[in-house]
Amino acid sequence: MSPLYPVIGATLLTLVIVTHLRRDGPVLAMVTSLAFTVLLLFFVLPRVGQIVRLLEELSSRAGVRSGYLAVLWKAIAISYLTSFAAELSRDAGEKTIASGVELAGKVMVLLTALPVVVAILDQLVELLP
Amino acid sequence: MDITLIYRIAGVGLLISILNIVLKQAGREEQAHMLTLAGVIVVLIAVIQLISRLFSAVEQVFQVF
Repeated sequence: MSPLYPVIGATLLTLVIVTHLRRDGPVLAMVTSLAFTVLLLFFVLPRVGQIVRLLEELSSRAGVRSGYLAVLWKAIAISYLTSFAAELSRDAGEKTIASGVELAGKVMVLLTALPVVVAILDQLVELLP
Repeated sequence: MDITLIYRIAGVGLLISILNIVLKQAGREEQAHMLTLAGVIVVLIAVIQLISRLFSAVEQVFQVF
């Protein structure tokens, strides 16, 4: 619980700074919120890494081929970065740019998931009599 | 949770707003706009380096290359 307190404190402090900066320059306010989101990510990413390693260890014990898991990680990374950019552009008031980035992200995730779909279909065909 | 960059950006923002007021009183309106632009560019350079660090961190965590 205790590592959370600096995060909450930093968030409130950044809120004050962003609202102050927005008064005379919306550009700086947006850049500050972007920088803070990235710094928050640097706080979260090592912990996500632990979860990723745990899931990989569990899946290797369960015998799942690691190729499919790599696709899962790639899809998660892509979708996270895309939503990060989309929310920031929505925050800046640009809904069109947000939907454009989301479209690009969806296409990329679909692209990475294609091999898995093909593999599943192959196995299905083998099962048929 | 290292947010020194936020303080730096806040400092730049504060400096710019004060200098803008001074420049406006001195009647040099266009220099005020130039100054705002320069401040934004300085902050942008720092944030872009931060974003490149973000991308390498995400790749390293998710082993995605």
